[in-house]
Amino acid sequence: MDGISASDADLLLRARQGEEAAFVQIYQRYRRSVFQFAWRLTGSEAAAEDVTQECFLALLDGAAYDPQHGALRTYLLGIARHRAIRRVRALERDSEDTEDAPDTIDPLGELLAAERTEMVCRAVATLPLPQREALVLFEYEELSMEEIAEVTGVEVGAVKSRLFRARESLRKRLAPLLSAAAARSSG
Amino acid sequence: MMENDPLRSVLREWQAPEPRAEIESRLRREFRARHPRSPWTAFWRLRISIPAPALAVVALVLLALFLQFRTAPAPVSPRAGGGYVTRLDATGFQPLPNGAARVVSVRGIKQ
Repeated sequence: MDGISASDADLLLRARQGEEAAFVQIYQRYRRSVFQFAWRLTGSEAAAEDVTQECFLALLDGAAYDPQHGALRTYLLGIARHRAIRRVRALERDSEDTEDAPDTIDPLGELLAAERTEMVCRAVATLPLPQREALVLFEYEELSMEEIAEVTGVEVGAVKSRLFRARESLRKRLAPLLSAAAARSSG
Repeated sequence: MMENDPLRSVLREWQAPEPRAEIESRLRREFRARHPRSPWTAFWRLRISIPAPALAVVALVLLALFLQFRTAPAPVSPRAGGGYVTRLDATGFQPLPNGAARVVSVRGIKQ
C-alpha cells in the first residue's frame, strides 16, 4: 500500500512538472473507479465524463493531495463526489416537476418494462444522496468504512448508519428481485 | 456475513459502463494547454509537409543560384623569378655511397 501511494505521489509530482506520460498513467490507473462512481451517482454518462475530466484536471491545478493522509484513489473519489453532487442537485432542480419515484416497484410492470439491472439502477437512484454515495462506495468501489468516511467527510458511525438505512430501503424496494433470487438459490 | 447477502448479489447485477477513450484525448489536450512545450522542444519536434513538386522547384532554384553566384577560380599568373617547371631531370641526384645504407625503425625516423 505504501509502495503504491509513494508511486502515486511520484507520478503526481512528475505530472505537475509537465510530464504528460506520468499524468496519463495516473489517469489510466484510476479512470475506471472515478468514472463509474460518478456514473452511479449521477446516472448520466455525459455528467460522469465531465466529472472524471474535472477530477484529473483538479490534480494538475494543484489540488492539495497529501499522500500521508490517504490513497490517491480515495482523494480522487472525494473530488468526484463533490463534482457529482453538484450535478445531481442541478438535475434534481431541473426535474422537480416530474413525479416522485414510487416507494415500491410494481414487480410485473417492472419486469415487463425493464431488465433486472434497470430495476436495481432505479432503486439505487431513489435513495437519498448521502445513502446512495455510501452504498456505491461500499458495494461497487469496495472502500472500507474508514475510507468512505474520508471521502464523504463524516464520521465512521454516520457511514454505518447511512449504509444500514440504504440497504434496508433497497431490501424493500427490491423485494421482488430478492425473493426471486432466494427462490433460485434454494431451488 | 455480507458475502452471502442476496441483496449484494442483486446489486452486483448493476454494471457500470467503461469510460470512453475520448476522455483521455480531452485530458491530454487540456494537459498540453496547461504545460506548453519549451521553444526548443517545439523546434526539434517541428514537422512541415511540402508537396514533392514544390520541393523539386525549390531545389532547382537553389542549384541555379549556386551555379550563378559561385566564385570563379583565380587565374594563375607566372611567378616573377622562375617560370613553370616543365620537365624533371636527374640534376643534383646523389646516390648513396656503397655500403652506407642501414635499416632504421619508424620510431627512429620520427625522432
